[in-house]
Amino acid sequence: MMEENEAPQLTEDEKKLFEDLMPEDLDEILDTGVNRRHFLKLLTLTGGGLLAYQAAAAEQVLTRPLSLPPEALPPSTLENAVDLSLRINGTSQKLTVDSRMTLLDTLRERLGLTGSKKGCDHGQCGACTVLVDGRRVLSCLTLAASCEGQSVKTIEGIAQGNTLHPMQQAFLKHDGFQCGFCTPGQICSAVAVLDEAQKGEASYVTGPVRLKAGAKPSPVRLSEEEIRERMSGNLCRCGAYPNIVAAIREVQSGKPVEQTWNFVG
Amino acid sequence: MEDKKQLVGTPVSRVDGILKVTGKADYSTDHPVKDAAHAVIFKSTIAAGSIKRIDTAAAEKAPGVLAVITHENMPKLNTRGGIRGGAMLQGPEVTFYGQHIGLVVAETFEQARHAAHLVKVEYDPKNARVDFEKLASEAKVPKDKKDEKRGDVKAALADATHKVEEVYATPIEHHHALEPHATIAEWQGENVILYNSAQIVNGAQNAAASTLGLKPEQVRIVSPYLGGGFGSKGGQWANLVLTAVAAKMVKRPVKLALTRQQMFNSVGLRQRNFQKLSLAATPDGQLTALAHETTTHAAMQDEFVEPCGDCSKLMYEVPNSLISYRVVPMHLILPTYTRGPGKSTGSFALESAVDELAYKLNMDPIELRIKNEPERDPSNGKPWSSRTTVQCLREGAKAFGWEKRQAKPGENRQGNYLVGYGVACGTYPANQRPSSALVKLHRAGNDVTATVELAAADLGTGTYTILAQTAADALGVPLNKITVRIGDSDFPSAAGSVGSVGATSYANSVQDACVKLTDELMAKSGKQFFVRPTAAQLMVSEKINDHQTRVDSKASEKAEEYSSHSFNANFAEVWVDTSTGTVRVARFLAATGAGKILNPKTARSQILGGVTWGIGMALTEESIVDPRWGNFVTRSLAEYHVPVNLDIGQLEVLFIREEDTISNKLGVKGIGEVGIVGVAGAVANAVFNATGKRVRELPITPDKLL
Repeated sequence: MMEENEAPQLTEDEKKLFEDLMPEDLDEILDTGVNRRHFLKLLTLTGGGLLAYQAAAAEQVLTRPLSLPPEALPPSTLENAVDLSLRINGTSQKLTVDSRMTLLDTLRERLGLTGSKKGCDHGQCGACTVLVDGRRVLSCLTLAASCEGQSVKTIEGIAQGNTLHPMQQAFLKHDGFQCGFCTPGQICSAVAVLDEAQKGEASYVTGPVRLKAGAKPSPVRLSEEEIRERMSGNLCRCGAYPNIVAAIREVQSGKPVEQTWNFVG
Repeated sequence: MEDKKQLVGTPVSRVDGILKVTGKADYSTDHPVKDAAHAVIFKSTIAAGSIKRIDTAAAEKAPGVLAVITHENMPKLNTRGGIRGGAMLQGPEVTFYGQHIGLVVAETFEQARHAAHLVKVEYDPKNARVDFEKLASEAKVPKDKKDEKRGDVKAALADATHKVEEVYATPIEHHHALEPHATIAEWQGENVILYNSAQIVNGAQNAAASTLGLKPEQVRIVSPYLGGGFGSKGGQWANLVLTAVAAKMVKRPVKLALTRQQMFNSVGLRQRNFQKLSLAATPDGQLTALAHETTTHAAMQDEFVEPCGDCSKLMYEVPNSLISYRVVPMHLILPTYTRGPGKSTGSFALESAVDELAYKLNMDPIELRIKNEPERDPSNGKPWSSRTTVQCLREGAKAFGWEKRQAKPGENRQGNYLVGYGVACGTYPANQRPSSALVKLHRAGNDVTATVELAAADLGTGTYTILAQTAADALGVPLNKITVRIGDSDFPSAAGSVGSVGATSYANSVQDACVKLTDELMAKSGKQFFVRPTAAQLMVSEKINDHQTRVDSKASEKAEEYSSHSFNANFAEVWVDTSTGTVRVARFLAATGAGKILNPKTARSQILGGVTWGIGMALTEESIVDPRWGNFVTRSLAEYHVPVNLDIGQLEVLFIREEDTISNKLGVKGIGEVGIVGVAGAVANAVFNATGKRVRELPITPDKLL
């Protein structure tokens, strides 16, 4: 079964980045993707090191595409096949999936996007959270077949080129994770929470929500309590909750949030 | 030479953080292995007996199925090879509910899952031993835990005017790391690569090799990132070797991930404990007797006993003491190490009893503890390498505002809530275990880069980061020019990230390797130096392109002469809703003395994690066995409640500054375990202070307060 991947694998932002910095390599990059040589060159061009991260880590981030063309499967592997076209991280994808396949398994097993995690497969942990048409959904409870024509953003597509999303930066700064397994879901959820609050969507802990007829809800100010409640669908077994709250507060308020620990003696 | 830019001790952000926030850190099943088939395990639906007939015909015929593996076609394995908990399909016997009884391998996950439901099993059931309340009276002395007695506890208790004699119960708990146990097995001829989360990389390698009848060098464990572990990925369980066998049978790589439901009875658990705690004291609060008698359960074939009496052995000066264990075999999966093993549960009993005694003596619980502070380790007479309990209590009390506590319970009412303060102490041993490390330097012009390799693990603890910091300081190489490579059995063998030995063992070995490497470069130069140069400077000045060295480090003999521990004091403020009985930990402060803090940012996170675990233990986490069938009625995250974001209030972290270079050269004591120890006790004591109700059975659910 042939499947096509029409669009280039780089996003427009990434294309621009390489166009600006490495014009002579652009054709090759568009053709075969970013390889180690491109990466090393990029490192030199951007000043010898991307912040204070491990060289190996940065290379791994940059030399992997935002989505892979789906792997063709032998016909015996598909039952009640469903043809599907959707956008993943800005790239159109056409693929044929088993009708039982969840969006999560499609991302992980067919498109090579293993950032979204399977923590429970029952919508109870939030590790699989992705954005579908801008709203957070549990991709383990979403059948791929139900995503026809929709636009999916995963953790791999949250950054703009090689600039991290402010939420990703805030999670790094505030150590909003330990093992990191729940982190892709936490970050996708957190990005959506900001949007939900901006739209005035109420939560369980929001104060009076009754509106006058015809009035639009005003944005909700995200108190710590609001953030905690809205993020309670994303479990973190390592216990990074206070740091996750701090990261989200910092991004929403635009003001630095202090990290506190004290030494005595 | 004094380096003004010391990185050790500073709050460097995680060097692996960028991978984790971009979804690029590869956990077990994220590794891009081509052409992998998918396996799904199916489990027994009885707790005891044997499989009479297993019908796999329909499953085998289902679309996409490559193999159905049961005890009938499973190769013989070495069941004493180090894999924990049995369940390796070696026969028809069933010894616990949810034992693995087979697996289906298919082209896709959907096909494997469907086919697993088509397998029909008939059993010959036996009476199952699953009711701990009834079986506890049959418990016997464990194989490896004799009673430890000092003085005459009975007589001291009989003579005492002030005493506490109570039983404290703790439930079965599950680790529930967010990453379920999962493996990809890929054979290359007679060798196998196992992508599999392992807290002890070399341990996993040896266990898999021995069980599969291979030499260790035929097995490679790849585990660069772990999605948590908390003890459940310390030892390895049947899923690891079942994946290897399946891959061999279908002649393709195989991917096997346990489901969340399967995590309840596949990878160990924290046992249920009845702890009888007896304390006696003189009227002015001098302890005269302490007995800590634990009764628990193990599996039918194997024994594991969480050491609940460990804190009681050494927290307080007491002339008469007894630590004992009794264990009864049950048809349940083998218990195993769970965060703060023994100490977290044991300290709940001990520190609750100390609080009860303080009320009976009409003493402040902090002063009672300080009055009984031991000068040496009472369990072995050794001097402390350092002990910070008193500082933790004093400084913690000051920072927490302990003076605002109303000693009389039930007096602090805020609207619909009763507010209470509680305190409890904890400790965990500090040990350095043998670890090797390889450090490589490379020079291009004036640019020197370093690579550090060892088979260490980072389960979120910050290993990558602290090793990069250690190497940067010791070599004079900037942090972003250092690559730390861990989590692979091809690297020099290292200790596990278990029992709070990781940071100590790894950082000391990397430090030793960097010092040795610098010494070698100095010798190579043939020059005399007034000021010791860095390795980076030597690489440039001597125009050396590549140099590497390896060391094998272990604890000093001097360390053995001392008792080395991390210590803490925990302070909780709880708000109890008088209408619903729900408890909220509004504020919590942990004061911790854990030697040198290599990175306060990641160390603080470790403490936050321990406290969060402790709050779960205190208030929500409990697994319940159906006494009729032996299954867990709590079988998903909807019934087994790990804390969520809204459950956690204001957490404060205080470190006691200390330089304990007796314990090890770098003075690191480990912080992963001690963070949970004492937390549940502090919460339970605060609940008593709030309500006047002493809850001696965890978790403290609303029904116990209304």
